[in-house]
Amino acid sequence: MKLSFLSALFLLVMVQGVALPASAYYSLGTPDGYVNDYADLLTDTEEAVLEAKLSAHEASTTIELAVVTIQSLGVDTIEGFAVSLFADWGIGKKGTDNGALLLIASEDRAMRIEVGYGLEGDLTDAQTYWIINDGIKPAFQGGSYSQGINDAVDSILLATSGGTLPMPTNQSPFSSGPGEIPEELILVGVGVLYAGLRFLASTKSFWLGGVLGALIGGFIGFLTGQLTAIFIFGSILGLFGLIVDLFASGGGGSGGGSGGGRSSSMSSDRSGGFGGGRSGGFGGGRSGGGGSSGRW
Amino acid sequence: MKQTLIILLVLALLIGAFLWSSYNSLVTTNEAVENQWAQVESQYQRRFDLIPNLVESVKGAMSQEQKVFGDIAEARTRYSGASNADAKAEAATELEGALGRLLVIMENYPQLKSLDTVQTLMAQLEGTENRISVERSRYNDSVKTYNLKIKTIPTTWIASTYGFSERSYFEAVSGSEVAPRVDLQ
Repeated sequence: MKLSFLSALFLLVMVQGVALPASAYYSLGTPDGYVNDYADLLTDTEEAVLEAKLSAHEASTTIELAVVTIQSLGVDTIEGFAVSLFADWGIGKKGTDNGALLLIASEDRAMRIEVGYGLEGDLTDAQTYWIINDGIKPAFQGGSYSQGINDAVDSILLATSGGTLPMPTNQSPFSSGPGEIPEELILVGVGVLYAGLRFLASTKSFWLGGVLGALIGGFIGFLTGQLTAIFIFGSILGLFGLIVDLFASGGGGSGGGSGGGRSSSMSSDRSGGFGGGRSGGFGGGRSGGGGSSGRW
Repeated sequence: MKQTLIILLVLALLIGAFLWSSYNSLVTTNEAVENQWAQVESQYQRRFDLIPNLVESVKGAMSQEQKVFGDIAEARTRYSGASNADAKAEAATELEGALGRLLVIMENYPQLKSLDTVQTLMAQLEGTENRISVERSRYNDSVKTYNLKIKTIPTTWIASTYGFSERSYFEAVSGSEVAPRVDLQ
């Protein structure tokens, strides 16, 4: 009976947590630096030179320009793919949104410069249009990918470094995901659990542990801001507390039990945070479809 | 006796926490929808600011196409006069149709399309159209999140108690998926 109730709750959470059906964008995985040449249009040396240029630019201006080449867009448009990739990787710094993306799809012969919200003033749609049509397009048509990409990067860097530099206070190079747990905290946690077990063992009741567990679980759920989490954590920790108390009241508390308890509250913390999505390299900037596309 | 009291107290606390956080989450998602709609509107405004420039620079060479310019002007007037979001969306949709027709007609004027100023304006307009579609789809995403909360247990109980109602999606313009037909008379 209890089990089916719990599984119903889990189902509910899963229904609520279902991701919106994205368009045809497929994930490229974690970015590997500023240059990601999946279509292999550049030689290794060219890539390294470009990477050095872009990371030096980031170091001096905090602006993040990503150069990505892919083979195929699948069934997506270059606009749709670029905006999804931009959001996926979070190009640019969080808060200032000072990122830009040069995306090239070799089989589709399509390219796009997608501009982050924060750079829209410095790198206008019209500018990106001319960069594509006067710079990249003729070079690509002549077969020189490296020249086209490098010219475009130079133009973008020039346009974006002309403006005022973003505030250093907004600098957050890498967003903090779920951090590691300091050792002291673990020691304190173990101590608290041990004390709790002693207390539960000393009380006459066998149900107080359940009530305490439900309360703590409900509170944790409340902290996550998820409604169903209150019930779920409340029920799980309530049930867990009841078992522990039954055990403790019945005689000798066990270390294995307390270990399980800690990890269950830990995983609840983790699911509450939004740390999952951030991938390496970029700072979490956003874009809103600004920029320009072209074909060659 | 004391035990019942503790249990009741715990129950009251849990219910209180539930009410509090579900009400707040409804308010938060509702605000997110509002905010996203503001983004859509600011892109609409951008489009309305760009259009007169384009119209001015092509009007002279396209003297036979007065109808489409008339449509554009009318839609602009209706947008500035629109008092609520629905009327605004309707006027914007109308303008979208007229603009689409203008762009198709412009295909017949290659000498016009090769002008730098016209190309620049077209690039700006294309960028704006793309922004509009991005912000609109994000608006729909935020409406989806909100409507899910309105319709699913347990938030649906709170929503009906406090009068949170379902919000409507931004529907694709009927006929916008097919290219506009050009009527050359």
